[in-house]
Formats: sequence, C-alpha cells, structure tokens
Amino acid sequence: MKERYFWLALALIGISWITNSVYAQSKQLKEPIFLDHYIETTADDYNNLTFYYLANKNDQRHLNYFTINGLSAYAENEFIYLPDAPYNLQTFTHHVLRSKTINLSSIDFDYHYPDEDFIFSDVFAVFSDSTGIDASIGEVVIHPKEDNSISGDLPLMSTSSSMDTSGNSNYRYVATEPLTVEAISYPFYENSKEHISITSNRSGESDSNSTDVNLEDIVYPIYLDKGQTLRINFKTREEKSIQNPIAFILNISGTTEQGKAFNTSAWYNYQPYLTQSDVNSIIQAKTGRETD
Amino acid sequence: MNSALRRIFWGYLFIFFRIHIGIDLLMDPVGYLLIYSGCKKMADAYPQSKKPMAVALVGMVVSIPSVFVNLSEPTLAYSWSVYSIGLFIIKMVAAYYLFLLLMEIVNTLSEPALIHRTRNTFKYLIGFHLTAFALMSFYVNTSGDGWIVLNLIATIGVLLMDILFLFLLRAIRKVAPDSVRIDVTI
Repeated sequence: MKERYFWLALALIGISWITNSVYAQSKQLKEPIFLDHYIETTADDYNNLTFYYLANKNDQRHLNYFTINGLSAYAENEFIYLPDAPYNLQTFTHHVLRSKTINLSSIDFDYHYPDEDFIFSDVFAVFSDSTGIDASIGEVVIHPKEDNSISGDLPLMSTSSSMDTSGNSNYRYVATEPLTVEAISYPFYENSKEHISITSNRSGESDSNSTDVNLEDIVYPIYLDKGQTLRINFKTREEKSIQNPIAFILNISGTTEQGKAFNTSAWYNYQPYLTQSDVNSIIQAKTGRETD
Repeated sequence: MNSALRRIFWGYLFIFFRIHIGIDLLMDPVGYLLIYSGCKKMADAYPQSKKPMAVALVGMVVSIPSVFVNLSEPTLAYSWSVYSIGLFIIKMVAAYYLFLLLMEIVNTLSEPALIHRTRNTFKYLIGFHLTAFALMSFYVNTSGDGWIVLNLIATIGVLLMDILFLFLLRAIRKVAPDSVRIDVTI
C-alpha cells in the first residue's frame, strides 16, 4: 500500500526538480555582462582601473586580462595560487557580481598615448578558459600623466582628504599664497547630478562659520588669502542608488596673485552596490531579455 | 540470518558514509554488494528481499564512478551534481525496500516493541529523505541565509535518520535467530 505513495511522492518531487531546473536555466547568462562604467583617471603608474561584471553563479572562470584597442592590460601582483572559484563581491539569486582590477602601469602610455587622452568604450575580456568576449563597458577616459615636476609648495595645497567606497569624500585645501579660484569643473555624466551632490565652502583659518554651497551656485572668482581653506565635499545621495561605477576628477583652476596659473584635483570614486532588482534591470537592458 | 543482517548493516554504512582520500574509502559499490549478498541469503525465507536485491544490483553498477570522483567538492561540473542526485534517489529507494524487508522479518519475529520501532523509524527515515529531496529541488533558484539554514537542517536530519536506521538493524540482529526460518505448510 505504501509503495504506491512512495513512488508517487518521488514522481512529484521529480517534477519539481525538472521545473526548477528549467526555470534556473532560463535565467542563465550566455556570457558575463559588464556594467556601464563612467571613469576618468590619469595614466600614472599608481592608478588602477577596476571593471565590474555580472556572471552566472556557477561560472567558475577567472578573468585573466583585457585587450583594449589592441593594447593588453594586466593586473600585476596576481597571486600565483588562485583559489578554485573567483571571488564574488555580491551574490544574487542566479548571478554574482565580480570585479577585475588592472594596473595602468601595465599599459605603455609613453609609447602609445603620450600626449592625448585615451578614450574607449569597449574591451575584449579574456577568461581563464581562454574564451574572450567583446564587452561594452560605458566610457573610460585616461588623461596623460600628471605633471609632477613642480617642486615646492603648490599654490592650492591639499591638506587632508577622506574617502569611503560609497563615494562620500571630503577634501580640504589651503592656499599657501594669495590666489584666485576661477573655475571648478568636472565632467558631467548622465544622471550624475541626481546621485552626487558636490558642495564647497571657504573659511578662514578656523574651520567654523562657513556654509556649504552647491557647486552650481558658486560665484566666481573666489579670492583666497594665504592660509584660508577651501573644502570640497562629495556626497552620494542615499535616495537613488547608482548602478554604475563612477570615477572622475574635479578640477580646481585659477591664478595666483603673482600671475601663475595652477590646477588642483579632487577625485571622486564610487564602487557600485547592487540590489536584486538592479541586477534584473541591468540584465534586461543589456540582453533585451525578460526577467522576473 | 544474523550474518545476513550484518552484511546489510555494513552495506548501508558503506553507502551513506564517504571518506574520500584520493578515492572513496567506503566504496558505494562494495556497500551495495554487501546489501545484495545479505538479501540473497534471506531470499528463500523472505520474498520481500527480492526488491532490495534488484536495487542493490543497479546501485552497484551506477555508483562505480563515485569511487573515483569526490562528489562533495563544490567546484564540480553540473553533470556531476545530476549524478549525485541520481545516487541519492537510488539510496532512498534501496532504503525503502530494505524497510519493507525489515517489516516482514520483524513481523515473523513477533516482538511488538520491535515492530513498533521499525515502523516508526521507517516513517521518519523516508519522511526526512523525501523532504530533503524536495527541498533540494529548490536550491538552484533560491539564495540567502534562510535557505542555507534549511539545507543544513535537512542534511543533519537525513544523517540522523541513517544512524537511527543502523541502530535499528543492530537491534533486529540481536533478536533474530541464527538460521533462517523457512515456513513450510503442509
């Protein structure tokens, strides 16, 4: 008597297995999907470039290197012993978020792009099983190396900075001689205004009684006497999460009282943190497929 | 019959424990072989032993690859996890038919406490195995801590049931006569 029920239960569970497997199979990505990056950096050796991508949960391949416009880019100091499975930054129902960081020192900029910006929107990513995919990665701009030949104090010098991976950062600059700030500019990316708020304030030698002013509302020129400070604050707005990795350089430029032009930069860096619905919309946008 | 039950005991132990050092030291095919020979000894007296014999034969052949492949490694390819599920099903079916055999044996020994215990262990073992099996079918579509905990509980439950089964076998062995009793009616 019991035998019939036993086999019936087994059969029902078998159907559950088949249904679940078919559903899971429909969610699998054909190939890893890269997020849209909006990155601006300089070609200096100490800079890194990190690319984020979504892969299937059971995809065990490591990402070995990129080929960008014919140049190969590697990560240096790779461990000789790689763990069996690649590291997942985040895990979702069927997919995982991974990243690969390459050192800019592995690209010979002096030879290929000595004076001009290196801009690209696609990379060719090669995985550990020797398969490669063409991926569109948003837009990356690499400026030529910073000119570090200036010795002595910069006119507007950074005295402290703090940064976290959610893009919130603060920079404090002090004027080492009287100067005028004429412009503060940064590349304007789609929607960045919705997500990032940039404010600045100017104060005397003591840090109190100054108000944050939105960058758009600043009235130029700003005159700083010697010893006065300028602060730049980046704050990522909590209400809308950013799905893209964003990094850019904010440029403060002006002239000293003596007539010398100067340029100082503040860097903004955001490492994405995705939710399951972010993942679904990214996959839908990139593959044109319906997801849950 | 004592020795027959002893073989079934060791056979089942070989199947559900796995000590993998290079190869699986507690080899599944050997386990199924032991169950097969144990059932064969009782075949005349207890007709129910035919079914476990058949399953053990199938299990012997199908489980040969598991000797060489460590199925508990997480980085195995997808086809091996399908194979693991197949082995789990065979083990469950073997356990089920062994239980039917045990019920038959225990009924002839007419010890009510033992009969009761066998029936209970039967219910719980099959219940846990089927539940664990049903849960397993959803893991590929779920993620999160809750499901990991469920998986853990199900795995431990199945392990406990298997151990209880072995104890039950031992208890039946103690009460069983040395020679197989053949009922002859004239």
